[in-house]
Amino acid sequence: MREHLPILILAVPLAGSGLTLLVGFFSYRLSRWITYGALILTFLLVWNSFPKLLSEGPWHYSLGGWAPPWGIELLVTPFSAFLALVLLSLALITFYYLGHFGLIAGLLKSRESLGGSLLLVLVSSLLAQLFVRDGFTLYLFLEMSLVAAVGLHLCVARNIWLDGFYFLLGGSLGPSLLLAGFFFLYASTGTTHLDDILAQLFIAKNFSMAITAGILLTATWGWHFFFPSPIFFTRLLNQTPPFILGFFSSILVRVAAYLFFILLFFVLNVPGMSQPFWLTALEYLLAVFFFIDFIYAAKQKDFLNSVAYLSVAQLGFLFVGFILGNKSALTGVLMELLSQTLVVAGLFIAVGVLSLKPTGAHPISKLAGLGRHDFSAALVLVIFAFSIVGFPPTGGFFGKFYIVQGILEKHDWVLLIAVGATIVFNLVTAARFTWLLFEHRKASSFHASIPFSAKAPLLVLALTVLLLGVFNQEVVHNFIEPALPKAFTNLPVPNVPFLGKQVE
Amino acid sequence: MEMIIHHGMAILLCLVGFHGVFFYGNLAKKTVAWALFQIGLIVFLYSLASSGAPLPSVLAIEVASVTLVVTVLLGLFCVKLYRRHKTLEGAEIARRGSK
Repeated sequence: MREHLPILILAVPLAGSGLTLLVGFFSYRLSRWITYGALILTFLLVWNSFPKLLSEGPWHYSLGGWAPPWGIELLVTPFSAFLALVLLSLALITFYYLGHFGLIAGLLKSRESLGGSLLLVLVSSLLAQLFVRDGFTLYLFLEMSLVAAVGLHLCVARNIWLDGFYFLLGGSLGPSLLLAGFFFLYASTGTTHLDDILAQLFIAKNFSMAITAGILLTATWGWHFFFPSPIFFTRLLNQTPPFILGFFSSILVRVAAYLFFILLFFVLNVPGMSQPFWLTALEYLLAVFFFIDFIYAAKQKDFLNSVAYLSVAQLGFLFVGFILGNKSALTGVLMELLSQTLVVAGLFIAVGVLSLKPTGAHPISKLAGLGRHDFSAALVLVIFAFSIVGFPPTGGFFGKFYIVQGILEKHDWVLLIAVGATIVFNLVTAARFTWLLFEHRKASSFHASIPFSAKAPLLVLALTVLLLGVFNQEVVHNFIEPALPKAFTNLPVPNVPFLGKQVE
Repeated sequence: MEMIIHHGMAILLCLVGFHGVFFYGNLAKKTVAWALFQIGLIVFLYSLASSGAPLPSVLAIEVASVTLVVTVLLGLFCVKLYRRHKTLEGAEIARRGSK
């Protein structure tokens, strides 16, 4: 049984989904506990994979015993398993808030059961995206996650049909572009296995195909990376409960960023390939474009809109790491990815907890003096804000530290100026925000104290952001380093995977 | 260049579909445009299958199934929106919704 853990991790939430839906027709309470049970069991299964992962390294699992590149392979690395634990924890928190939200918003119990079922489908498809090493299977699970996400949206929000339509259409265009990219690669390599594609591209020295597919595979994530920017998703932001937005912005978007990392450095990173100047210039512009969102975030008067801009803006740091592509920068990218996942989810949940209403406006001015009324809630916000700045000892600090180290190693002064200016700007904004939280003013909106049960998940997230920073050495050594491209892992193996044809 | 000539029909369908998704205002037309994009990909796979490899045909069937499911879902959204607003113009529905 133990040797089939990778597939069990994907199968348990999927089976739980069907069971939750079925039981929901008879007992809402039992249906709710089945959802919790499926998520906790999956969490334990991932946890049980760590002894093998940490002692033997990445776990290669061939579905049905068919070896890659002919069969479909699941690859569980220490980092993807760690990210899976974060995903499952956030799914548990999201489902916990779904119950609370259901009471506040007067949601039908049947919708809660359906929501639990769809959440499990979403979790299963996202876990599959983390582990699967086949381009076509990746497409199927990406599409599946979007359909489940739209369904979840419809479960918790009213009059959201138009936004649901755009969500499904815009989201589905991404997987279509992914498919187009993989078909181009298949046409020239004859394989859809991710590692084998790299080997075949290297043999054929087909750099132009790698660049063409790379553009399509980059465009795939356009919709994900701009979610939930208020420029494109204004109506959706106003109508969706913040805890759902938090789950999507942290998990859906950050898993996409992880897949983008895999595609860039494990599929298209053909040794000897050089990029044209216009493409490099475009990458720099894209990173700066994301950083500009920090300015928009600081200018917002609505807390939810500000958090939405922050979610998008932070991706700029990941892009900087991708542009640099050296060991320090990629270590920083993965550290930053973990930190951002927790911070973004935490901030969206905070919006929901502090506003105490399902949807609508959430003015930042109402947070004035929160620290004097509810110190722990304000402290949580300060920890999240300073993790975004990159202040020690948060996880965000170490992510940015490694990225800046990567910049200095590569002597890229343009990126150094961009990242430096962003950090200074964010420091000033975070200081002003902290002042607002602790200033001498009566907090007009907090007559009733926030119950501990509503705050507890926030405290856990903030503590995890701090622990990520405190134990950064262990995280980097045990989880991040084995997930880097082979050239950076100090292993006595070649940089190119030897699958399919022999490399001379 | 050789690829563009060989797979011209598929690329044309994809381009038309991609353009339609962004520039049509009507939601039904957007749905059809997305389906066209997917059909382009299926045609591309079938042109690869002519070389004798079995995988493209299998992939084409799977892509067709996904396309059908998502198109039906988008169609259901359209039906729901049309019943409520008596129009499928995205901008018009958004304007009414924001009132």
